[in-house]
Amino acid sequence: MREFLSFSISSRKIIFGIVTETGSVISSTEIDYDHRLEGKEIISNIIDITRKCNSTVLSGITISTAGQVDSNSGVILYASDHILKYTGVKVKQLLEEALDLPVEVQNDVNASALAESWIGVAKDVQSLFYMSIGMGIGGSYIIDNKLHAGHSYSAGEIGYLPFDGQHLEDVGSMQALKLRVAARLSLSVEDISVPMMIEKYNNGDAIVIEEMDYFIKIIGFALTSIVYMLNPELIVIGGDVKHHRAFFLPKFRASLEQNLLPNFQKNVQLEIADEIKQTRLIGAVRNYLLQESSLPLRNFLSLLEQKKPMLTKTELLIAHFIVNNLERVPLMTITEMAKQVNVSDPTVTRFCRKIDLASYNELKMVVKMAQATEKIYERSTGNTEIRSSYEHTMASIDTELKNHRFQKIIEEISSVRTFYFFSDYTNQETLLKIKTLFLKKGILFQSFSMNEAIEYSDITINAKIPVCLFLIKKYDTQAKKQLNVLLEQNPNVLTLSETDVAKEKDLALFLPTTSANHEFALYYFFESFTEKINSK
Amino acid sequence: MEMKKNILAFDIGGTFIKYGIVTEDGLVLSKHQEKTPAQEGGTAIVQLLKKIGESMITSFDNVIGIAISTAGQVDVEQGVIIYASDAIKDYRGTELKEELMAHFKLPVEVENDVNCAGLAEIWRGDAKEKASVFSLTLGTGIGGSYILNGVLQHGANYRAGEVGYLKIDGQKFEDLASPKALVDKVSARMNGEYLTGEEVFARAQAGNSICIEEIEKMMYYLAKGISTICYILNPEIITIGGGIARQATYLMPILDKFIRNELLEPFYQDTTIVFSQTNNEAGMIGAVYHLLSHLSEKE
Repeated sequence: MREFLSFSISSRKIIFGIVTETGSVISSTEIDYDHRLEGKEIISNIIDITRKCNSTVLSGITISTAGQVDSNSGVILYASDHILKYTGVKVKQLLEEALDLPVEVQNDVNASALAESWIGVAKDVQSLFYMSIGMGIGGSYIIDNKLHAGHSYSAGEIGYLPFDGQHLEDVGSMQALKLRVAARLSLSVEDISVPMMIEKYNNGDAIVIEEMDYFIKIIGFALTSIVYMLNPELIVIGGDVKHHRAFFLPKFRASLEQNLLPNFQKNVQLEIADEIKQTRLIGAVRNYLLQESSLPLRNFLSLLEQKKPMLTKTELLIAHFIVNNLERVPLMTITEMAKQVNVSDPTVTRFCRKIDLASYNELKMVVKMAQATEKIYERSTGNTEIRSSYEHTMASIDTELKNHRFQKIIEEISSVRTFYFFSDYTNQETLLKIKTLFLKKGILFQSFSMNEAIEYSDITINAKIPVCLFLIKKYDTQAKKQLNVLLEQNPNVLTLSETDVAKEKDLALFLPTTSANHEFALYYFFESFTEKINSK
Repeated sequence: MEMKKNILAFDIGGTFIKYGIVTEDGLVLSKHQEKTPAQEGGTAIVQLLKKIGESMITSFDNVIGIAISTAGQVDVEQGVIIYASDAIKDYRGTELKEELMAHFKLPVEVENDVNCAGLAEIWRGDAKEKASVFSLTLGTGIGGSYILNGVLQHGANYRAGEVGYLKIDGQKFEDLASPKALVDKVSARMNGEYLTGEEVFARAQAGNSICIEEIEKMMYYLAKGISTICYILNPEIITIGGGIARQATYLMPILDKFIRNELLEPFYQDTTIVFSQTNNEAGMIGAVYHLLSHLSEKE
C-alpha cells in the first residue's frame, strides 16, 4: 500500500503524519510556533521534515493549507496575513523541485470536506455541503465525491455572504461569538472556550444564552441559503462545533427548520462532522488521489478503444472524426464539430461524458495533448510512470505559460518575426521540428550551439531579437559568460533551465524536465508558445 | 444531404403557452402562442397540447420529438409535474410525458422552465462552452438554474437553484428584486395608477424620480443576490433572463455599480454577469436541447 507524508498548515502550527492511500493515519506530529509562519519558512520546514523522513517509502507529499489554492498548479492564490508572504507561493513546484516527489496541495476546508465524503459521515452521499465554523466560516461543495472548486477556486465562500450589511463570518463565526461573549462578561477572549460557553448556557447564564441563540440564528440563515441554492443531499458542519454534537445539532436543525419553507424541510439532512482525528491530513491524501485519477489521459486512442463497446453508432462517428482530425479538433467549437459529423451539439456533449470527460473543452484539451505527444513519441509507452511524468510536464508548462513574462516576449517575436535559440542541446530532429513550428507562423528561427554562439555572438546578436537559452549540461563558466553577454545586449532573454544569473534577474522559466523527457518538454513548450504568436 | 430534424417545442407558462418548431441546431422556424387555460387545469392543458401538436406535426416534415418547458417543479425522469403554484389550477400530478407520448408515438421530454432557460444559455446564448453557468430568470418570482460542465444540477429533490427564497436583509430575495416587486412598489407610490414593467422603464428614462429610485433599489437587491451566488458557487458566468433583459442597456451600469460595491474584488473579476439575449424563446430552445440530450443518450 502506498504511503504519503501529509501536512496541515495553519497560521502558527504545522501538523504532519504518514497516511496510507486508504486514509489511515499511521503517525502524526504537531509543531506549534510562537509566531505567525511565513511562506518561505513553511516551504523550508516541509523540506526539512520530509528529508528527515525515510523518503524512499513515500509515494508523495500531500498538503492541506490555509488560504485559497489553485489545486491544479498547487499555487497559493490568496492568503490573508495569518500567514505572511504566502500569496503567490508555488508550493507544489518548489517542493517537487526540492524533494523529487509528486506534491498536491488543497485548501484546508476543502480537505476536511473531502475527508468527510471519503471516510466520514458523508460517505456514500451524492451531494454534500461542508461548512466549517471557526475563526471564520468556510464552505465546500462536493458533488459525486469531487470537489466543486468553482471557476477560480473560490466556491463555497459562505463566510462572505451579505448579512445585515456585513459579511456573514464577521458576525457568525465562533470567533465572533467568543468576542461578543468576552466583551459582555468583561473577560479576555482567550478565556472563552466552546465547552465553557456550553456550560454557562446550560446553567442559564442569560448573556451567553442570548449570544449563543443569536449565533445559532445566523448559522440557520447560512444553512437556509445553502438549501435554497444547492439543495444538497447532506449538509455537514465541522470546525469548532465538531466535539459538541449533542449540544449544537438539535439547535442548528431547529434554526434551519424555522427559516425554511415547509416544502423544503422534509428533504434536508444536517449532521455534525465525525470526530475523525487529523481530518485535514486525510483530506489532503484524498485530494492527491483525486488529482491523480483526473489527470488528463494522454493516450486518447487507448481511452477510446477502452470505451468503444459502450458507444452508439453516432458516437463512434464522432470518435472516428476526432481520431482523424487531431490537429483540427482543438480549434473547433462544439457546434462546428457537430456540424462536421452531422450530429447535434448535445450528442457531442453526451459523447464527452461517455468517455469520462467533463465537457467539450476538456475533450479539446485531451486531444491537444494526445496530438502533441503523438508527434514525437510512440502511441503507447505502456509505462504509467513515464506517462505521468509527461502529464506533469505538460501541466507545469501550461501553468508557466500563463505568466505575464511571456507576453512581452511573444509580442516582441510577433513584431520582429525572428527568434534565436541558444542551447547545448543537439538533437537535430527535435530542433527541426521546433523550427517548423516557428516557420509555420512565419517566424525566422535560428538555433546556435553554445560554442558557435559565443564566437559569433557579437555579429549575430541584435538587441531587438528575442533570445531563448536552454542548457542541459551542468552550468559552466563559459555558458555563464555567454549569458551575461546576452543579457547586456538584449532585454528579451528567456531561459528555460536553471542558472544563477537567470534566477537573480528573474528571467527563468524552469522547464520541468527529467533527462528522459526533455525533448518532449521542449517540443510541448514551443508548441504551446508558438500558438500564442500571431501569424502574419 | 440528410434532411434536418425538427422538434415540436412547448413553453407552458401561467399566462401563455408558447409553441413552435425548432430545428436540431436550435433555430426557431415558427413561433406562436395561445392563452393558457390556467383555470381549467392540467387536463385542459394536455388537451390543448394535443390539438396544437396535431396541426403542427402535419404542417412540418420530419418532426422527431416533442420538447416541453413548463412552470412548476418537474420530475424529469417521469415527465410529471410534482409541484406547481396556484397560477395553474390542478397542475400538480399532470403526466405530460406519458400523455403526449401515448398520443403522438414520439419521444417526449419535460423540464422546468427556469432550467430550460439555463440550457438555452449554454446552447445558444452567452454561456456557450462555459464550464459553470448560473442562470437567473426574473419574472413574477426569481428562479435560478446551475449548469456544471453541461449538466443541470437538480439537487437532491429537483429543488436546487431556488434563489427566489433566499433571505436578503430579512426579506425574500424575490420580494425585493423581481420585476413584479418593482411594479408593485412603483404602483404603490403612484396614487393607485398601476404601471406595467415596460411603462416603469419608459418613465424612468423620461426622468420620473419614483421609477428611477425603485429601479435603483431593485438593482441594489439583485446585486446582493448575485453576490450570494458568486460566493457560494463561483460560477464562470451568471446570465439574467426574463422580459427585463430587454432593459439591459439601462440596467447594466446600475447593476454593475452595486455588484462592484458588494462583491470582494477577486469575485467581481472572476465572474461574468450578463443580461440574456435569448429572449422569450429561451424556454423552447432549452427544452429542445434537453430532449436532444436524452435522445442521444438512448441511441
